[in-house]
Amino acid sequence: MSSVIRESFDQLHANENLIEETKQRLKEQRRLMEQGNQVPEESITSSSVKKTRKMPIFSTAAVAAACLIVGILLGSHFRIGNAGIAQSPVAYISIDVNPSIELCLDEKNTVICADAWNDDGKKILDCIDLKGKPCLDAVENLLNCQEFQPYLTDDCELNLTVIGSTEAHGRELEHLLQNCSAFRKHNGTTVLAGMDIYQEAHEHEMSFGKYLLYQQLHELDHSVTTEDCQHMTIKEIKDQICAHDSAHDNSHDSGNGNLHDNNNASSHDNSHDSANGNLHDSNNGSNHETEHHDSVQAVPQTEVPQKEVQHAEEQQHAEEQHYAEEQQHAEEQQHVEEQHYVEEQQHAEEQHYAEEQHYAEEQHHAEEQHYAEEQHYAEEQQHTEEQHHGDGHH
Amino acid sequence: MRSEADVEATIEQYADTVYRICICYLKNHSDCEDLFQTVFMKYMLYDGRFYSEEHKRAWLIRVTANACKDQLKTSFWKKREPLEVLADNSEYLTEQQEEVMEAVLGLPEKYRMVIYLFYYEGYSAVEIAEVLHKKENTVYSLLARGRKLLRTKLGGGTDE
Repeated sequence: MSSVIRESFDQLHANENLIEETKQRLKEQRRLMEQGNQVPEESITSSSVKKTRKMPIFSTAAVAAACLIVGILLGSHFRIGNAGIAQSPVAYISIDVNPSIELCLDEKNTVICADAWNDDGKKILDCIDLKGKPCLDAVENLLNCQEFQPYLTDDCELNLTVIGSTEAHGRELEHLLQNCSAFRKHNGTTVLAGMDIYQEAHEHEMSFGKYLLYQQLHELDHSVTTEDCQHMTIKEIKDQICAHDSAHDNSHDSGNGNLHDNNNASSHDNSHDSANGNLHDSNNGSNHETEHHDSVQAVPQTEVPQKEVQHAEEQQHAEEQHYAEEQQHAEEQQHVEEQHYVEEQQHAEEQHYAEEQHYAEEQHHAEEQHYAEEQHYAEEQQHTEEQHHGDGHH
Repeated sequence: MRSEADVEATIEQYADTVYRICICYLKNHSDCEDLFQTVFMKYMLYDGRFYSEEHKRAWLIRVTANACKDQLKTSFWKKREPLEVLADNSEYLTEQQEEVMEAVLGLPEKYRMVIYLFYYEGYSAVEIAEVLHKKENTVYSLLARGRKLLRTKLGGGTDE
């Protein structure tokens, strides 16, 4: 093969013209350089090379510059993206009247997004920008904005549902909202909800505040669907819940469903409290406290014989006139409490339930005596321990 | 700067070598002419010492190869067909030689130069490695693969 290749290449010659031409050019070049003119190297290449060099090509510099620009753009884009991720919401507030609006909050309780879950809500959010505001300001602005006023009638139900990153955070937010002047003005109610409901509500295309109420209503009336609720105002839903409640209240049936019990319990609670002269007025503090009190009282109430309940109710009737004012007050509170209680009960763990029962029993029994017993017991223990110590020494 | 006599003698002596390497790389007569002049211009301006004639030859091959690569870089979009060269020289070539030239120039660039240096210039693999700044083993494998490609192209009819 090598011979063939050699022979083939042997046929290739630089032709004489080329050699002569080159010699001439080099001579010229030499003369120019000897005259002292430093000739740029390009001059030795002929026109065709120059032409090719001038033709537009992707110069490496241009490509590098383009890459850099793309890199910078991408980089900045991702940085913005990351900032967005860093600001992920940790808490949510659902504001429902008829407009259903949800606010997402970051850990500093600043609103990072506001979503409307019905047309009324969309109309309002179109006119007001809540992003970047502290949550209290945002709620205040929202409730005071002009677009919201038509919905805030005298008999409207303003429902604020809160999901905190933790239960403590939720309660903190609740307290914060209860201090909101617009919220007080319209007799709003706050409800604490768990994070699990958030996703579930959105699957049914409702704000979680409304969905919570739907769940309540659905427990009482299984014929109610999410579609029905989507078109109902909070007032309508609450009215329906109340209607079902009162229907059950009248029948006084015991041993019924858990949720119903709770509702009953809180309504009985009134009577019980009144009977004990334990006015709701005294519970005017935070809703949380009253709610806690309720839950303490409520559970054993189902265990109280019917007779006693009736008796309590009679007493309540008698006292109703005396405490008309207080009662009115109490009823308002009761609304809040009911919400709280039902919600709380839904999420209550069995252990919690047992604890409550235990705690309630303790209250029902003479507490002082119990304390005395405990003290006595403690003393005894101390005695025995001391004795043990003594024994040990001996 | 080298003397005029030196340059002219070198041109006479190495014109074919330089030209063939240019053809190997560029496959195009007009480009080769440009490069031919560039290479000898470089030689004229080069003040370094050559220790031997062999050294001078290797230097010229190296300079030509580099100049060719530069040229290919600046005009890489240009389509080069071996036939272009062959058409220019067809009057001198037999049918078989034309076939061989076509096969050699049709090889991918990396094999082309190695094959040329090995078969025509008679360099050993070690020398090629030195001239082309490649590893010795790389040259061996390039040679082997280039040879294999040539053989399939030429139908295996021509043995070493």
